[in-house]
Amino acid sequence: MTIALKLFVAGTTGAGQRAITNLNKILNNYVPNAWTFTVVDIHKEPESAYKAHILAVPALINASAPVSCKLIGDLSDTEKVFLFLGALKNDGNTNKQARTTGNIDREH
Amino acid sequence: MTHEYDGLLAPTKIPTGIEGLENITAGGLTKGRTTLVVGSSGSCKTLLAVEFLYRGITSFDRPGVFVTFEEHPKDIIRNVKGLGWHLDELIKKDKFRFVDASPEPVAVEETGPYDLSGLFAQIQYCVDDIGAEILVMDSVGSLFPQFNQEQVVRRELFRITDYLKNAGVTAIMTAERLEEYGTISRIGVEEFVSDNVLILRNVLEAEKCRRTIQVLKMRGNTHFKGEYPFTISDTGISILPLSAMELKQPSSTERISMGNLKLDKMAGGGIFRDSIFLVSGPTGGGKTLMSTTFTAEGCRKGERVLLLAYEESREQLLRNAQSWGLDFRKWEEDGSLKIICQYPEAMGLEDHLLMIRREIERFNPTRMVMDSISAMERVSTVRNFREFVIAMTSFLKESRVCSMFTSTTPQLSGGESVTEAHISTITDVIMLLRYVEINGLLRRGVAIIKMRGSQHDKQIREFVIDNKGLHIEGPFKNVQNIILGIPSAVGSSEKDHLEEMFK
Repeated sequence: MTIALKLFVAGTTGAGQRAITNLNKILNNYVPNAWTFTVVDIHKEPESAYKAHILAVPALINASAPVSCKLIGDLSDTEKVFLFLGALKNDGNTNKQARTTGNIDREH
Repeated sequence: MTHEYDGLLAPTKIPTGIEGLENITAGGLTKGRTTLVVGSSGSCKTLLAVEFLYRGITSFDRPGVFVTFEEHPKDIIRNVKGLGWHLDELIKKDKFRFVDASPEPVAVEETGPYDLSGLFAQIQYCVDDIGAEILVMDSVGSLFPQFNQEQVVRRELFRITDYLKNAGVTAIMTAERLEEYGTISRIGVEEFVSDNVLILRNVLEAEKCRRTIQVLKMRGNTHFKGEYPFTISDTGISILPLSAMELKQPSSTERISMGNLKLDKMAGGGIFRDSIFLVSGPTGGGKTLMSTTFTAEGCRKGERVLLLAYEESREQLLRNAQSWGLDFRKWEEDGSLKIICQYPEAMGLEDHLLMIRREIERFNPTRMVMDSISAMERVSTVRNFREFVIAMTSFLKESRVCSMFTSTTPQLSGGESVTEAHISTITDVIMLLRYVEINGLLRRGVAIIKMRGSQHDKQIREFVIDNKGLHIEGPFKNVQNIILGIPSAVGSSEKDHLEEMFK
C-alpha cells in the first residue's frame, strides 16, 4: 500500500527546494515504492494553503487521511522524518488490518 | 524632475461604526495602517475587533478578513450570535473571511529552517478573494507559542503589516498585556506596529468592574487623551466620550412650570425648557414631593416624563402620588409617563448612563426626574461619579430634556454634599430645601440660590405640605442663617423686644 504525502513549499528556492531534495533522498534510499508525494507551491496555489491551514512552510502532511501530525522545516532532521513516516505507516497498517477483519467477517 | 517623495498625502481616517470611538479618535482609525489594540485578559479586545469588522461590513460596505490566532472561527461566530451579528451570513455573501490560524490539535515537529509564508499566503489570498479593506489579527500573542522560533514569527508579522500598508488595508492587531498599567504588550509587537495604539483596561473600582479605553497614539491628526469608560450592551461596545463632549447646546427662552404657581414666580416665571435643575435638601425635606409635582405638571400638560427612582419602589411611588391625588398609573398607561425603579447597586455607573441614554432615545421625554442623584454617589468613586454627572447632563442638554435631580444632604440642617460639589457648576437652577426651627417648631423653607439667565426671588420662603401637595407661603421674617443650617431669630422682633425693655 502506498501513502500519499503532500509537501507545501513557497516558491522555487531556499528551504522548500532543500525539503524536496531531502524527502526524495529519504524515500528512495529507505522505503521505495511505499510513498508518493506531491509538491504544492503556495505562491501559485494560495487557496490550497488556505484549505489545509498551512502557516509554516515547508510543511509535510499525509494527504490520504485526516491530519494528525505534520512536519515543518526543510526536513534536514532525518530522524524526525523517519519517526513521522513510521507513525503514518503504523496508522495505515491498523486501518488495513481493520479492513481485512471486516472482509473475513462478511465471508462467514 | 519627479522625486520619490512627491505626491505624499497626510494620513486619513476611516470611521469604525463603534459607538463613541470616532469621538475619542477624532474620526476613526488611520486608513491603511495597522492599529495595535492591547489589553489584559478579558478586556474585550476580541469583541472590539469583531465589532470593527462587523460594522465596517454592514455599515460601510467594506469587506473584512479575520485572522484568528486564538479562538476557533466557530466559537467566534457563536459568541457574537447573541448580539445579532451573523458572521456566517456575511461569509456566504463573500464579505467576510476567516483565516484560521488557531492552535490545532496536531503534533507539529520542526525539522529545520522554515518561515510563515503559508500564513502570509492565506491572508493575501483572502484579502484578494473578497477585496478586503479591513482586517483583524487576534491575538498575536497566541501565535508565538505555536512555534519554537520567536524570531521567525516576529519577522512574519512585520512582513504582514508591511503588506497590509501597501495594500491599503486598515487593520487591527490585538495583543495581550499582563498588567493594566505597565509595558504596552507582553511580546513587544509595538516594535512594528508603532503608529497607532489603543489600550483597553478592565479595572476593579469600588467593587465594580470599570472598562476603559485609551488612545495612546494615533497618527493622522489629533485625538483625545485619557481613559474613557465603555460598556458592553446588547448592541456591542459603547464608549462614553466624556471630556470629548462639547458645550455647544442651543439655549431656550421658553419657560415651563414646576407645577406650582408660586414656585414658578420665585423662579421669575418658571424654569427654562432646557434647564438642569437641582433640588437639594435633608431627608424628609420635601424633595420627592417637589419631583412628584414637577412630574405631574409635565403629564398634565401632555408632555412625556421619564421618572428614574433609585430610592423607592414603584408601588411606593404610586402610593405616594396617590396620597396627593395624582394618578401616576393612569399617566403611565396613557404613555405620558415612564417610571423606572432600580437600585443604584444594580450595575456600574457606565451601565446606568447607557441605560438612561437608551431610554431617552426610545421614550423621547421632554422632562426627566432623577430621585435621587446622591444615591448614585454611594456606588462609585468620586472621580467616576463626576464623569457620570458630566456625561449625563451634557447628553440631557443635547437632547433638550428639562431635568430635575434631587440630592440628599448628609445632615438635617443642610450643608453641602459631594453631589452638590460636582453637580452645582453644571446645573442651571439650584433650589435648596431646609428645615427651620423657630420656637421649638420645625418648619420648612425653600430658596432658589441660582438661576442662570434670569432674575429670581432672593427670599427664603416657607412651604407647607398637606394632602393636596405643597404650598408656598410668605418669606421667613426675623430669622437668619437658614441656608447655613443654623437659623436664629433676630431682627425686628428683638429690636421691638429691646425697645420694650427700655421704654
